[in-house]
Amino acid sequence: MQPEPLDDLDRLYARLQWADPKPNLTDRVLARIRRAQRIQHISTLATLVTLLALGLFAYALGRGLTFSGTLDFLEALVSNLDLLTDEADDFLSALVDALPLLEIAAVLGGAACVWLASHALPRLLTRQQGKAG
Amino acid sequence: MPRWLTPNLLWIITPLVMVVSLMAGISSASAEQALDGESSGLRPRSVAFSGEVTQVMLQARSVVVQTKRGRVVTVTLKASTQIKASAQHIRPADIKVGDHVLIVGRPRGTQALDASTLTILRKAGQGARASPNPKG
Repeated sequence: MQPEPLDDLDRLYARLQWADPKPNLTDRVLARIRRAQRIQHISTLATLVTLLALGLFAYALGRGLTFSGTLDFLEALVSNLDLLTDEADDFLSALVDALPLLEIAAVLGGAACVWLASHALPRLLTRQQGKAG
Repeated sequence: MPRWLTPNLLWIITPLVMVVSLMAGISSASAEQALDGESSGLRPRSVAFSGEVTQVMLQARSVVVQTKRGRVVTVTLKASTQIKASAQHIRPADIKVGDHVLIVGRPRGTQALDASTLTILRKAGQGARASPNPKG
């Protein structure tokens, strides 16, 4: 039986040499896994906290929209769309005056914090630990 | 990103949390208003609401308005109050019982309000847009 002729791949493998792994490779891999898990844990916790805050802000916004009369405004607008054509200035200026701007800003900020906690924070921590490690 | 909290799941959870909490806040505030009027919820800032005129007191320059939720509010018309129908200024005397109005103003006390703007959306007995009194 004739041996198979050597091809390029065989010749390439023949030139490869075993590399000695670094002595603490396992420890370093495990440490990196632990760091990644810690970042994941922090990110999860931060995301849940910001989600909770977002819920509270949205709840406050619901109350603010009701008590400020904004919902009445919108009800009136839905039942009478002429307001936007005939009295747009009055209606919009009064609507802006009635809007619970603080609560709206809090909800927008809360949503931004959810994104930061779930996306930006893990990347930032990973980058920082990468530099440190 | 947390392993179990995938981006797709977060895209669903975040709006869901917002909508549910918002609705809970609206329900809570509406229930509070229904229980003890609007006194507990009113803020010093401007408010706006629509309702039906149930009483007109020209001597006191005020009207009583009942909102859709059943709240009864005494609205004071000051000299600076803009009273309008179809984008035209009208007089307080043109306001009639049964008119559907949109009011913007600042609360005073428990069930009173100083109106900055009173707009007649529908005249009493009319389904369409209010038309101003030519005399006004």
